[in-house]
Amino acid sequence: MKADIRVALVGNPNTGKSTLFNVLTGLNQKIGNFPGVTVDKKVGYCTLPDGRRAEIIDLPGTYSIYPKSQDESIVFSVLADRSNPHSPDLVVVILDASNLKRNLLLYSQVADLKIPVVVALNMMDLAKKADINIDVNLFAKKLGVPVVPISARKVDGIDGLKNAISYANKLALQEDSIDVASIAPELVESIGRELHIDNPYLALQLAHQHETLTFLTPEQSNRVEELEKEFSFNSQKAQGAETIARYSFINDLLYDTVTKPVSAQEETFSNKIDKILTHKVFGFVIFFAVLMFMFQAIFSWSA
Amino acid sequence: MRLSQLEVGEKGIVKEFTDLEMSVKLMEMGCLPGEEIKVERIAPLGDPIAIKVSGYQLSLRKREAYTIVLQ
Repeated sequence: MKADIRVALVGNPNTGKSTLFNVLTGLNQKIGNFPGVTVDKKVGYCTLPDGRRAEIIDLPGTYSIYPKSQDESIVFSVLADRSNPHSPDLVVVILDASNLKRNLLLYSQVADLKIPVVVALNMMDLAKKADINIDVNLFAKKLGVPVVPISARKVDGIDGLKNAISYANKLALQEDSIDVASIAPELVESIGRELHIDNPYLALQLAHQHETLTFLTPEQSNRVEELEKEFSFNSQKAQGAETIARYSFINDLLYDTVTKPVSAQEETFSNKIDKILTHKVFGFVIFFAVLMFMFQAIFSWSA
Repeated sequence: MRLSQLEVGEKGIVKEFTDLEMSVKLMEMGCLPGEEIKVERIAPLGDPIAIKVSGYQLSLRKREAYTIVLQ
């Protein structure tokens, strides 16, 4: 099946990515594996309002583009490798509107790769319930990308998202979040020059991840290694500096666009239940009561 | 003062980290220098602990909590 536009879904774990994927593609999906690794690859198709056919790929959930596991490493290799068969024309970043701060870290990293981005603000219903007020228009303006409030679980705002996908620009228009090159100026410059990469963040990511990336040739990878030694690049320190800079950008952004209730939030219902069920004493009492009940049900009552 | 020394309900502000590798992970999760941390609950045997940081709950092993230095 041929697609007119390839779209990748990216987001933190538990932000409703798979729910959105199911809503967008319906039953029109295939599940396979990424070559070489046992990570599920979910690809589906969806027809856009303008009649074009979009291939949607559901990438594994991750908190950051720096992988901590094999499935997380898929995210960067699909986004960065232009020769990957799933290399997207457009990325839909799904943000949990009730927990924007942590979610925006991944957004800012993906945005800096300068692939066209549409933001789906999911769980708007939950955010409203928690009295979190988001100025969506200002938020979109500051990021420079379309932002669509949705609720995937309630199938709310999906048409708006499909519209945004079909009108999305072929060029990446998002604002820069942080000055990436300043983290390792000479290194970024030389990797960019020697590997012909004009995106500074992509160059920086290659410095961090070149050992595990399969789309670099061994010569390229060795060259990056040499350059790292030349400029005494410390991957973890650079990563720390980047994360701090990104959160500072995120805090500024949220300060202007989001208002939250100041008062200490009421304990959530599930926390209240947890407090009883995992209590030092009552927890065990309830646990044995449930076991007794099941034992009774199976051996006494059924007889 | 380390995070692992706090009791349930106590708060502290992150000052620095003692483990570079762990610090990178923690910062990605929104646990940054200057952020307020509240200990929400501690498991019966003292490990792991659940903290509130950046508006959500995060669970840590005790030795991970030990790498967080508070002000």
